[in-house]
Amino acid sequence: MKRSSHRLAALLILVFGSAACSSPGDNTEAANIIKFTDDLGRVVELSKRPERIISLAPNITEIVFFLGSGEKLIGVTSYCDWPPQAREIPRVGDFSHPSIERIVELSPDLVLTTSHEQDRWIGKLFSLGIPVYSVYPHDCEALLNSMENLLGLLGDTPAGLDSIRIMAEKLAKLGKTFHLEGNERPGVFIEISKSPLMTAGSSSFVSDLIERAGGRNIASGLPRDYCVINAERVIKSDPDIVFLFHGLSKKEELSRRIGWGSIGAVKKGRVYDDIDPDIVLRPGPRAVLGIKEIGERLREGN
Amino acid sequence: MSEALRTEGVCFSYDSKQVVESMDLNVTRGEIVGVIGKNGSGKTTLLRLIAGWLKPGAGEVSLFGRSLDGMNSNGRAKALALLSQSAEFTMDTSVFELVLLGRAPYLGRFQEPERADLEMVRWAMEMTDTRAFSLKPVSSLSAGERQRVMISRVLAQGTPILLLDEPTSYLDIAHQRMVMDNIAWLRKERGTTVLLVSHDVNLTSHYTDRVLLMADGRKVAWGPGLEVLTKNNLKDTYGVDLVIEERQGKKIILEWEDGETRVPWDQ
Amino acid sequence: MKEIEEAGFSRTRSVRQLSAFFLLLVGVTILSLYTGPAGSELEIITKVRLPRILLGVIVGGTLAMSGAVFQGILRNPLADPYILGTSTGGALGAIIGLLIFSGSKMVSSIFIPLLAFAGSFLTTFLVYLLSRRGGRVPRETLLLSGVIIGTLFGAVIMFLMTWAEKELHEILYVLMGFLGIIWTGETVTTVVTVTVMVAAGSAIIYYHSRDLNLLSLGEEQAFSLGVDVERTKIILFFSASLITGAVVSVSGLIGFVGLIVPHIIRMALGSDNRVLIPASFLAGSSLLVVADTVARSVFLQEIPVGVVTAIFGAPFFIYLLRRERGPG
Repeated sequence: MKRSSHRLAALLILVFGSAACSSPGDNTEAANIIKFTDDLGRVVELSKRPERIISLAPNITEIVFFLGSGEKLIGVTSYCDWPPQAREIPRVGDFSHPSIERIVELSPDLVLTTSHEQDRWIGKLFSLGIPVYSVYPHDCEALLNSMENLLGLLGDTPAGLDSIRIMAEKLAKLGKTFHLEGNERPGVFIEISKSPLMTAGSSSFVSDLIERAGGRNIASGLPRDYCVINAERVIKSDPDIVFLFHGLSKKEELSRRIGWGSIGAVKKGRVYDDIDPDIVLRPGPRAVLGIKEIGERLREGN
Repeated sequence: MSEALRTEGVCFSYDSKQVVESMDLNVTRGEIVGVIGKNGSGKTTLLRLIAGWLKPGAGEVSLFGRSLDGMNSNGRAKALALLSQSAEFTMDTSVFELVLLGRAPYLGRFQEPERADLEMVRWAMEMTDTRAFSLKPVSSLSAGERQRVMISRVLAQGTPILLLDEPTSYLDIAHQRMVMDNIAWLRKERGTTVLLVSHDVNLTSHYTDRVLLMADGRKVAWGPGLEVLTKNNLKDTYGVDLVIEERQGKKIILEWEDGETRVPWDQ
Repeated sequence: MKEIEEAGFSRTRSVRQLSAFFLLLVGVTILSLYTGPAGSELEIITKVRLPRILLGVIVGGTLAMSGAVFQGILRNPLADPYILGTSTGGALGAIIGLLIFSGSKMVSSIFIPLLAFAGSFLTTFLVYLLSRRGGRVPRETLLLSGVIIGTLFGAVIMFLMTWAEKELHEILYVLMGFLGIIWTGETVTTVVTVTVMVAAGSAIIYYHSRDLNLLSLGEEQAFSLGVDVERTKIILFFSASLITGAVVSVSGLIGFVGLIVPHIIRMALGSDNRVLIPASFLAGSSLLVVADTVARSVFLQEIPVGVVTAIFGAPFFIYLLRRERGPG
């Protein structure tokens, strides 16, 4: 997917809300204006390449480092712990409650946010004249596009482009390695939380990883990224594999859950609690590792 | 034991204000005693102290020679019944069921009422002429009807002592007479002892054997109505000049004297 | 005819009425067992549904019965466990537990209910202390203190929520009321403990039902009829608060059940607490089982049951209010 560099005849768009007609990838670079459309369809305008960047989500931090611009990060959230260098960067709050004061204090050129959950902060930042760009990919394909766009915004570098290309190749290779036909795919239950019992629907990133690793998300009918699910549905769908992506339950616990003993995954002991949730829940460069980990476990039974 | 009720040196204060002070009272069995005084003179408080609802700061209340303090709640409920000044009840129930509550001291918690209890309730309602709305919800009654129902409830309790706080409120003359005649009947037929607080001095004068005149929580006068209800006593208590006559052996107030009208702002 | 109705409390009639409600509960339970997202085939579904329904029975019954008790003590038809701050205190305890134990696994299932229980107990105690006037607990101050403390703790909960990150969803479900807990050995122990507490509390409350009747005449009058007013009020108040706290610790905040069910029973069977209290329990159980069946079956994603009771409860309550006002 290439960045198209045609000029738009539009006037300077001063208000960042006029998103509707743009799609990610409609970008412009003119003499002093850099205009990009982010993942949520908003048009972001900068007068120069950003040198001082704040990331408001851990996956975005990982992506920025991955693209080689880690040293431009001047502020991150308290959950940003990867790569290890990220831990040295000053904190501006957490995912749900970034500190606007801290952000302003650091005078960034660009703030990177993720999903619509963070929208309310965006209004405040606009009104303070700080550009905001959202990165929100739903699956690996979209992740690659997002990274390309973001790299374009930050300034294409050979190293960055290489990283993306290599990742794309790895994803393709893994896809082939773990590919399975429809009826061979094991049913997978993704447990995001225990109380309430929550899973990831098919629009979520982790669901895409499962699919690429050869699995079939039993919760694919559910409408949102993360949903509360009734235990009955899980038991009825009789998954072959269960992944616990939260720290609160050990795999042994599942056999102690009343009614869960009849699930294929529990009977055969194919419950996995040893994948680091961050690798699979954060849409970012480690997705490759995530697919590999998931895929290996999916294959164990055979 | 001819003594029904006695208070000795009973005191009660509230918010560092002395509401009843060193009250000595002695009521014999079958006596009807009236308690009168200005608003705030401690009449209702006295009744509550005798009922045991308030605990005296000093002094003692005895019923039939036994200390009230030492009585258990069931014994007390069978000894005296209290009619409060303001009827407040929120249970949306029929008149019959409400009066039946008066039998509670005689019934176990989940015991069904016996024939004798039901008879008592019917009798109590006949006495106050409320049998006609026995099955109506209490909330649908007028203030006067409700007052009579509350009196029935007290009657149904069948106690030898009755403490009545303004029993004739809201009642028309016919019903006022009816209630007071009930009281007189009870005294005559059952030897019931009655202590009644009233604003109606004439009623008190006519129906009571002795009158307690209270002011500032203290006993101002105590004795037969003829002696207590004098022009001077009443002027001291109420601050009003009254025209009083004696008829049929009882004092009766005819009217208040024309005098200078005291209008506070007319200086 | 007049003779029959002028008969007062009748044990046979009460048993008949209560049996009707019991049958209703049984019927609702059976229907609910066969309703749910996974259909009705597997026996294993009954392993998942039956515990959930039993939980609904205990929680719904307790909330309705507590509502009846509070309305009786306070002689205020708008009283229920929430207004008095009890449930909010329980929820606060649960939420504090969630935040403290968010890392650990098994410990939380024991400590969170304990903390919730402690929360509601302390709240009740605080409200009681605040409303005492010279050795008595006047109902106006009780109501007022309950509202104030409830609001205060609600604010604390909101504040704590700004700190929560991973636990937000769980906290939200505590605040909205949720019966779909995952049952493990520890959960069973917790629920059994709660059930025992509810049974003990209910027995105490039921024993005092006639006292509640007498209290409706006014405290002085009840006293003159032999009720130990202060002691009875305290026993009833604490018992109702404690059983409410116990169930809030497993189900979160569920509203309107304690408010509406006693009203409906009163309209149907009258105000004698000796019938009202047990009937409220049975009707409250049935209601919550129905509400929970709706909550888990209607949409793909589960709705918290507190949302269902609010959506149906609020308009129904408005309807009740208008009805009462109409003829009067």
